[in-house]
Amino acid sequence: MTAPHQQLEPRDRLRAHLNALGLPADEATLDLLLPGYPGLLSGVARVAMMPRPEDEPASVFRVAGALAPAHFPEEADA
Amino acid sequence: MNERDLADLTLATAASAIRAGTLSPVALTEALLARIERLQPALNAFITVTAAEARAAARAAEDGRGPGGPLHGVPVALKDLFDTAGVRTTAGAKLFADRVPAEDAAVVARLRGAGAISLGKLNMHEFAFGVTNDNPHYGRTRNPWNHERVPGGSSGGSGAAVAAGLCLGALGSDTGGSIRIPAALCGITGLKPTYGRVSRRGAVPLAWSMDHVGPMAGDVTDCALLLNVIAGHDPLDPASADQPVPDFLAGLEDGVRGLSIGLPRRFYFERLNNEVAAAVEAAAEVFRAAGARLQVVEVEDVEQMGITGGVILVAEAAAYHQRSLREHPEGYSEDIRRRLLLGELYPATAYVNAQRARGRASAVFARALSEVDLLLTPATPVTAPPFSGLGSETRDTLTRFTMPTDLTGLPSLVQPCGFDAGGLPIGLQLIGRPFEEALVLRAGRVYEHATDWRLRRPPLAG
Repeated sequence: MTAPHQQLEPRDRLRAHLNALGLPADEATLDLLLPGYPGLLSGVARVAMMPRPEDEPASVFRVAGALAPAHFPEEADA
Repeated sequence: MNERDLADLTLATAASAIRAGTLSPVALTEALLARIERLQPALNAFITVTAAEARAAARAAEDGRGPGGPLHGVPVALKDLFDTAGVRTTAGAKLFADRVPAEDAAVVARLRGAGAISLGKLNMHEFAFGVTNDNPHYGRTRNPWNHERVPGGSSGGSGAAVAAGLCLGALGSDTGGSIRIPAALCGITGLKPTYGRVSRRGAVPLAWSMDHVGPMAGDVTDCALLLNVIAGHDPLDPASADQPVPDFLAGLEDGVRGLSIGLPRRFYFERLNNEVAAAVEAAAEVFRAAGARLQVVEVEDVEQMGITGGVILVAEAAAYHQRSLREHPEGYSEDIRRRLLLGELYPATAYVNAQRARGRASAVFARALSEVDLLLTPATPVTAPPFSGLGSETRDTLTRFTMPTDLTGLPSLVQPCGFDAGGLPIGLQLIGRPFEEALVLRAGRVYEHATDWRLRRPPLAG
């Protein structure tokens, strides 16, 4: 089932999004952000569907910091 | 030697000649300053030229004063996001127009400690947040090969300055491709080292977990020489890796016989300009002729890494700029303001899931690089695009082959491998395992030894 805010037109959805975060949602801001907003939503949706390790919460914090395979043998072996 | 001859010197040759007493640091510095004065109006590669400081340093080097070291008396230039004590560091931004750091960035201190002379601060995309160097505050940097074309970015001033012979080497930074894209589009050599190999302390960040610092120069040897100087653990950079640092010049001539080079045909050889594809295919044959074994490999789901990297990059950039964007929105161009504000709209789950996907991306590359020693790809799908008609799709196109190894931190070298029918450079990319820059450089050296693309000079550079 589609959430109510997802049924909105992009401009209204952007306004609702900004309001929900307490960010300015004046018309000038909407004009500025609207061209990039559909791309943002698409990116969020794509990242949500990406394959990723489900059993490795620690890997959330494994940003590229130390990359040598010896540091993370289980990932190197994956 | 005349001015052109001096500008054509490699960094290694100049350093060696200065050490031998056959080349004057003062004469070399004056020749490059004269070129900058003549070509800067057309190229706009610099934001700040530090002529007086460079002359004083050259005089000191000539008199045998200064630290000595492998770059004694050699003029280089710095992307304007590296802090320089007493010299403004703008990051290409209006917001930082009057920002004068008190201390040198770690890499600047290392260069000075090795005896290098800074000629000034190089133009760049505003806050390193883009790939065209079409800077609204300091003016666009133009590609020396065709002034109507972008030089790439965000280290576009570095690419243009090295290509036009305004300095013998430069520093760049790379978060989505910002060393490698200008290297490819300007026909020079650039290395994005492994994440953590080179300190980022004192470099204005774009995205902490993806920012890399690296050398840009005329050839592979010069990149190795610069990397020797700037690489190493820095306990004051939280991302710095405490890994052994080899001599990147040692073994540079050992060849590729017996090595395997992977061609990830899916994705990296799709949706690209035919001339680029042909040049990289021809480069593969050069490696085969030199004794390497070529093998087609798969980098699973690599097409998703641009999105993953994009979410992380924009979210981290938005976090870095959040406060100053609130307090000084007038200090940002409209394009950067838009992208940073949009970055605040990413849900936390998107950032976390992108980081989780990143772990898998590293594993996927590790698997490919367990089958082969190196990967060979095009650096960019196209040659330098014109300033007219730039859009967000330009960024997506130019970063398509570079973003995956910013996400995974793998060392990646770009070097010239041909020219299109319009005379614009084409670049190849060699990707290695973590901390195996030496092998990447060694392979790159084989390629440039067998070809002469790097010796061509832009006709417009004088």
